[in-house]
Amino acid sequence: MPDALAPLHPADRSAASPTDQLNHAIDVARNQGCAVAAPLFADLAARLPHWDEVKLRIAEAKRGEGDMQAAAEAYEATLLLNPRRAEALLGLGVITLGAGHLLRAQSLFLRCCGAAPDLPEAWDALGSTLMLSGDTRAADSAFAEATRLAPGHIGMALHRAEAAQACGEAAEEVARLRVALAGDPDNPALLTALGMLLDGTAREEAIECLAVAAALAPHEIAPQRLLAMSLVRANRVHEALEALDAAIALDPGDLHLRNNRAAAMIRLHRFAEAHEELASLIATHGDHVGLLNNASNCLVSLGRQAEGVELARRAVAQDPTSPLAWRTLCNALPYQEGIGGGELLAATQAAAAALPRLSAVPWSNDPSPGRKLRVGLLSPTLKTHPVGWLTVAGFESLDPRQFELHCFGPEHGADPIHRRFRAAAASWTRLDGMAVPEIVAQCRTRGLDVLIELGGHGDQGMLGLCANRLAPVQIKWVGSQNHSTGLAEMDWFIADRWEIPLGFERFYSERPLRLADGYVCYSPPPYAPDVAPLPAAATGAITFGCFNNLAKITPAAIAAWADILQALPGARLAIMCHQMSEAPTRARLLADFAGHGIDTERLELLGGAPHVELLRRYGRIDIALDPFPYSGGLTTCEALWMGVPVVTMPGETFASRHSASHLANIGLEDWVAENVAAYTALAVRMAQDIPGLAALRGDLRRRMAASPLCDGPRFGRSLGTALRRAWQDWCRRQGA
Amino acid sequence: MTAAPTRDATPLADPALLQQADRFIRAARYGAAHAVLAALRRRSPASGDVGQLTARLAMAEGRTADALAILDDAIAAEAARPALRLLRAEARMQAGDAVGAAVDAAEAVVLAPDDPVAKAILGLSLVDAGAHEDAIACLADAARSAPQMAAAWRGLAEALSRSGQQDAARNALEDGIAAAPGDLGLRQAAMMAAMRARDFVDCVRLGTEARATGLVDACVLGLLGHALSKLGRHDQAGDAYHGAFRLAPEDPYVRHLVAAAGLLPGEGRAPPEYLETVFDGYAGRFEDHLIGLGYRVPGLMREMLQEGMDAAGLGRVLDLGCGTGLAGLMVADLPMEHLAGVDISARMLEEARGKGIYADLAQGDITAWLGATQALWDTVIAADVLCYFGELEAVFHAIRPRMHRGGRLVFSVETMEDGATGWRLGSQGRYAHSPAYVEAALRAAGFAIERRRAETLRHEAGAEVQGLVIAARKVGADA
Repeated sequence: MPDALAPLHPADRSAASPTDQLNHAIDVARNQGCAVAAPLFADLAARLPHWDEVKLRIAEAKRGEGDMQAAAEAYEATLLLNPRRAEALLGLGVITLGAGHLLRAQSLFLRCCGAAPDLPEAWDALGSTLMLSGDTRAADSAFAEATRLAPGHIGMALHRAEAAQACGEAAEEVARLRVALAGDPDNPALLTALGMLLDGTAREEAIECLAVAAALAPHEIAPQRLLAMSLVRANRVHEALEALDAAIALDPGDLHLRNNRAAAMIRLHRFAEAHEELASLIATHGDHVGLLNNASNCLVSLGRQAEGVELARRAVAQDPTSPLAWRTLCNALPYQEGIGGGELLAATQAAAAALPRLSAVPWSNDPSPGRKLRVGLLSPTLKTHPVGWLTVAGFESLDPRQFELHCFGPEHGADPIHRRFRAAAASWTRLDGMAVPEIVAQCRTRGLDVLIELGGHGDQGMLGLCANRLAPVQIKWVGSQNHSTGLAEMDWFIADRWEIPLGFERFYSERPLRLADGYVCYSPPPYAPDVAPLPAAATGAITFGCFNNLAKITPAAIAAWADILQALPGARLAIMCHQMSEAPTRARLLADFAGHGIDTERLELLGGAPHVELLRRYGRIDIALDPFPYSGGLTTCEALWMGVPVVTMPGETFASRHSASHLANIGLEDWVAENVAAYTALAVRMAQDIPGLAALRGDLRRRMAASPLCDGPRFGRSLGTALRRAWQDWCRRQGA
Repeated sequence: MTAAPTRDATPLADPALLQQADRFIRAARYGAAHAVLAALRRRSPASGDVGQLTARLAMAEGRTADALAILDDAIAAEAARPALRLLRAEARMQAGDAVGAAVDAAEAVVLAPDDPVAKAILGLSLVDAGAHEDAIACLADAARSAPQMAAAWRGLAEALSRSGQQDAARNALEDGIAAAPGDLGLRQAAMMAAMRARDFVDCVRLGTEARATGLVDACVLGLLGHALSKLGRHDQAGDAYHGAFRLAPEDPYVRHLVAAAGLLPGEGRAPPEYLETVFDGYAGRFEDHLIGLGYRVPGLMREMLQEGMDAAGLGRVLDLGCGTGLAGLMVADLPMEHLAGVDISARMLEEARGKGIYADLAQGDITAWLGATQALWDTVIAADVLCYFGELEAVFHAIRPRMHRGGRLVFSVETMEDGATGWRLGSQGRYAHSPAYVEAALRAAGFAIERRRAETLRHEAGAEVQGLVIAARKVGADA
């Protein structure tokens, strides 16, 4: 039966052949609707009641209009006339499946395969229903037939790979695809399926396969989509964003892709843009936890902490059982103005309670208090990152005869701090692509005595795994360590006497494990430029600076800084962070200061810069102003290393006390203020002593290098003592 | 359900795919580049662009012969494309065909006379071809017209250095640093040139400047550490080594020096890689250096061996950590059956071999070597060797089963002057021991002490280095 025939003018109908008439009816149905075409079809059906083609075309026209009921009836009518009509079997099957009648659909597809064994779509449809009914092995065979018949079809190749995966034969399918590719190396269907299967086990290779497939089949959504998601999972953010853009261009309505694009923009510090996208997605699609999570993160990063908290609360309201929703709240609250230690603890405890837990297993660790310990480090960021800068020197300095380190988390290639962790670790386990029970099993086979968690609720943090206890002793340290984890299974919390002073224990669900000096050890970058002379010594006017993330800059901090600038008419303030690269964000911050009566000419807003450049910028700063309530951690260490003292105001939460701890450890307790009034007064008073500032600056690096804050060996001993203490506590409990 | 997509079969090279292949090569994603180029070749086998990219991929993967074959074809088809000439010049340089490379580069300069890159590649190929004067002219020209091109300055310095103009080479590197201050390679080359000239002060200046501008890597900091150490500024050297360690944490050589500065926990011994690097680098001037330090250990060893010698002589003698053979030379005339030496440094062993006194020389780390050999010895000597071990138990336990019953072990150690216990790693990367610790470790391993003598081993930085020479005898039965 010829498919495409030229439409005829109605006037010629009487002279036309039935085929021509049918084509005309199809044309009318397509252009003017089924209702108009109905008499034409009826006329033909009446004249040629045994011709199945008419019924089939009626069915397709109805289905095209979305009238599934009528379409199904027409398909049935077709099959009465010709029970082996493949298109009708397939079409009716699809409608039946859509109506939820799986077995009936399956039998229609099976009949279709019998009637038209060369039709790949029939086998593909049969496979899909077999997958749904759980018969993955039979599905695999059906898809195998489909791909044999249509070896270049990407969707079918993916179906086959999914079926193979579902019946536990992914490795065999990978081997088969490799053989097939050897004979047909630029077949995008084979490449896409291989890439999909390799994503969990060999992500780099998966990405290569998918990138080639996407290059070879630039108009297909599947390889582009899989490529984008693999790149997201591999944390190759720039490439991921590019791939997401390409995928979205092919399928603009895909919410998942667009949310991921927004998340990638956030990682690339394009917060304003990401927020615009997310706000529009929420407006269109409503409250989804995934969207709210990214949008809350965005708002906090834009310095709109209260709005961020509000969205996070909406996420929790949307799904109170969702760990992601709770994580969103735990990531927003520490930044909120006025947050108290008790309020934050209540939130983290609620979040921890929502975490899923596997059943507990008894420990068989040898409870000898003095033996060498196997210490696990669980973190996504054992690399150039605050976690790395503030912990690596401590781990390097642990006595290797007493402690053996085992790292769990992604690897970061040639990153220099990552390589330091690698050099210090006895083993490294990548948890990539593993399900939680598998990860828990992996960690437990390492026989850890102590686990240190270094990721928290933050981006890619794995705190949730600790709800399953990966070691008899679990300790929280740096890595979104902004406050108590709230996790009942977290035994200890590494701190010091400034971070958790006596009396503050009530804000923590863990027991504080106070180190002898500071709770971290800063490892200054070997490429840090020399300390520059005090800029005010030349100009006579003070330049204040804050190089912290805008997320930490609250309205209250802005008000305090405005007061300081009011009190010192010659003074200036430089704010540097990634967010300042975006014009709307800059404008907003300037407006905030203008609202306090500050001439915006006195502000210098600087966007992100390479690390060495950021350090060099401290050469233009006399005094750093710490934000509150979330104080600077690494940023404070960097300011001090570059010779710039920091004015700080600690509060109840852990995050609010970092700078106070660092300052105390280098003997600068006099830079710590008790309340906002004292904070502004302190900044103003310090700014008036230019010779004193110059003298302090000239000696600050030497002083810091010699202080406990940078003394690796001393810190290593202190950390070792603390880990031993935690271990001995566990041993004692075993005896009790 | 959609129909299977058909694949294109365009006669011309698809620009999007070409661009994709180019990006894959730049990002070192060679597997993906292969796949895309294969698809491009099947679709448009005659494209010059595809040929050029295929050659670049082959070069990036180090398949120089393949690259040359592809480029020969491509140039035969399209002789006037300077990029192909430059690529082949590079490939020929890699293949060691300096003259051929110069011909291609010269051709590229003719085709693109204003391109300083072409001129620089011509200069670099002339350096390889040994035409130093022409190379200097060419590279000086390239560096003048594109001063930010660090490779031209580096090449110019190399050409000047090879033609014997060391000062001019160092000046060229200085000019290069001024013109391209962000290039790390120039800083490294300038520091290396200063070290070769034994101008440690200038090396420190260059390293300090690099660090002050935030432009450093492990090599710059390592060189800075060495230069500071040569000038006796050990604390600062320790900091520089610590910086180098932070950028190259897997390097056992740097790690040992940082541990020696007390900035990392010390290991129980110096890593074999450290010893190999130090002594390989040292071999040529080792003896002069030690003689200059008033080195007395070989003579003290000889005295000790003579004093307790049996009537039958020393029997089979093993010189552990024999180095250049200084100790062997001092004892070789004593009555013995056989003298063998073991050392970790191949260069040191070459020097020892040249002395013609050893019947047998083997390369290896002494503990590992002792664990692997089956031979037995009557006398084992270790002159200035145990100072590279903190914990001595493992070495003594490795020596004992390789000795005949009643055999003698004679060795030296450096001692701690302040009455401390155990052992300590010092800033020079060597260990010092307390006499009580050494004796306890010996006894625990199954040796009885025959003689011990406290001696000044040598002078260092104006101070005397104190030590012990000990003779011990194997006692008890073998396990």
